[in-house]
Amino acid sequence: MWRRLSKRFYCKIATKATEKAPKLDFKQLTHPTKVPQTPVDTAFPDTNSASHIEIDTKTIQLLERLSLVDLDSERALATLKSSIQFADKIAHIDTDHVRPLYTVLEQQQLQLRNDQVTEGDCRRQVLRNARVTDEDYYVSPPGNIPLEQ
Amino acid sequence: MYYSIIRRLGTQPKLATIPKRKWKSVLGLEVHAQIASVSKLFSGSGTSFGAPLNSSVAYFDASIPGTLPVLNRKCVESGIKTALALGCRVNEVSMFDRKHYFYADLPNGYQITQQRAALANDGIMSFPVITPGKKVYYKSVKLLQLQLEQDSGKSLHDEQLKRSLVDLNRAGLPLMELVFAPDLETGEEAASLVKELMLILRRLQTCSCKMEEGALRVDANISIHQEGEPLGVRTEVKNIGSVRSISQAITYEINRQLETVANGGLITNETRSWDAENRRTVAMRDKEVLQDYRFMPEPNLPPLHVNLKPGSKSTEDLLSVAALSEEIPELPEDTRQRLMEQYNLNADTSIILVNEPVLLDHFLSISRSLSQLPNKVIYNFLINDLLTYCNKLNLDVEDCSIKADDLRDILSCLHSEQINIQAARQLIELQQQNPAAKVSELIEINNLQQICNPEAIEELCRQAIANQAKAAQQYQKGKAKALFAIVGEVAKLSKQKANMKMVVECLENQLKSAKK
Repeated sequence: MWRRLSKRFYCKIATKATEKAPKLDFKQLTHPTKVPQTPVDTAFPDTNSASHIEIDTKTIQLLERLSLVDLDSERALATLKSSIQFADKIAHIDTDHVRPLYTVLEQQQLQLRNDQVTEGDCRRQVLRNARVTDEDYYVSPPGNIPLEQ
Repeated sequence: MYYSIIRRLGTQPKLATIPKRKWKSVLGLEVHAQIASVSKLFSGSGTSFGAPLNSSVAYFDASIPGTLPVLNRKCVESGIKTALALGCRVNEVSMFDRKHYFYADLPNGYQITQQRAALANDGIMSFPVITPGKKVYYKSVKLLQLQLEQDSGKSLHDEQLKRSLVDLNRAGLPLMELVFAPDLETGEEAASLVKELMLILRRLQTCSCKMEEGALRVDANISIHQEGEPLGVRTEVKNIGSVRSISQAITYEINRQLETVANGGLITNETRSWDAENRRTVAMRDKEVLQDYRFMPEPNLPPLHVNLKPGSKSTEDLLSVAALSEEIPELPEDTRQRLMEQYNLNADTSIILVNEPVLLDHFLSISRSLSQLPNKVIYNFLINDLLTYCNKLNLDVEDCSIKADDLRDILSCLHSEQINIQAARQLIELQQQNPAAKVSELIEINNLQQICNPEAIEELCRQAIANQAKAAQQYQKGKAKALFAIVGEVAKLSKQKANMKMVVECLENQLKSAKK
């Protein structure tokens, strides 16, 4: 039934396509575009021109270690500062009594897998990604070990 | 107060001089239990211990781009069952988070765990505390949180070549992390908590609890403070490899902190490792500042929902807590109560039996098949003779090869007076050495039958009286205790095989008639 309908529908469109398609009247749509057409007052404080951001060396060292990004150069530091300035806006939004949305899939049930072995046994393939290996081990610089050893 | 005066005077206070009573130790445990499953938490690779290096590694475990986590249903079920057994509130919605840190055996650079909303919270656990030489008492500890998370890989540190060797077989194994409130005070309490937890997890079959395989790992947070003052700075002790070393490590660390403070030092927030060989804790090279794990919601896993409706059934993707609660078996504490009610055991005996699952199995099976035997005889034999024998050999009762059937045969021979208790003890040893032999054969071969022939007993008694003439005289003069010496002589003469009940009767008769 549906197939027949759609076939007929398709034919209709196909015959129409030979004629000139009428232009879509955007003004008739409730939401013609997701981009606001006029500026929206965000009530964000303008942080771009706000006070200069200072970061002490200790924080920079911590950030370097956490991110493994070198912040020694002028440019890297400037990027970091402008990033903080840009993100700072968010701190001024009033989110009291608003439940945070972590994912749009919140109402969906998480898919569960049966407890069966279906993968693995691909040592050669996974070890190919490592630069240094030894007797089927990955080799890395020394890690967290007792001080007195 | 007293102590600070000493310090101001510039003397060196020794540990013994500090009023130790005033100091209180506070400790909390975090237990990581590997969930007994065939495949990993988020991938389909295997979990068997001792698999060839890097063989149980799926692309996801090695963090190959494009791979996604799919949650193992069995792990959620086990987590919920454990939570219910520990009296937790299971959360209708729980979420997964990424906990970031850089480490060679963590290929993703983050661990998937549950931080904002765990699987379950607010449980409670009661357990008997067994301190050698002290009375057993019960303690209750709050379980703050039970969460699901992945394990990391395993690093082997090669000291000489200054490198680490990484095996990812363990990466992604399913863990339940149980966070207990700092309600404990001593190492023995901590060890008893872990012992009870192991009994519960084994009953539920949600964890093998083999500490030697790393299937159950205990981290202890320890601090000391003076009564009435806020809690002190805590240290974390990791790498505790056995139940026995839990109390050793914690007691050591408490004393180390007391000593450090006594010597005017300060306790720093650090991670220490238990060195079982030298029986001490060692500082680990670690973060100088509080580590920032930069928790964030795991974008690849929507929240986990469970069905909390009573009477509901599990469906493909929605587990029912009510249905799972029906699968929970009798828990250790229920067994203790049942033993006390049904078998008339006292509290201490039921604790010993339940804490050694093998003894409990033996007790129940022997009691069932030899119902004419008083329960007291059975548990006394199991605890006083079998357990003592195993302890003497430093053998775990679980590794003892004597079967319940053999023990039943020994006990039935003992009950029918075929053998005496000395022979029964000897039989335990013989049975352990010859696991395949039958009890009756062992009695035959080693000539362990009890001497019950009245004539033989009389002859033995006559000899004993002759050998212990002095004692015999004393007894006849009314010194009842002197009889023990003669009884002992009979035992010696008969190589511990005479029926002592008959011997005592016979001796009394002979001595009385001699007096007349």
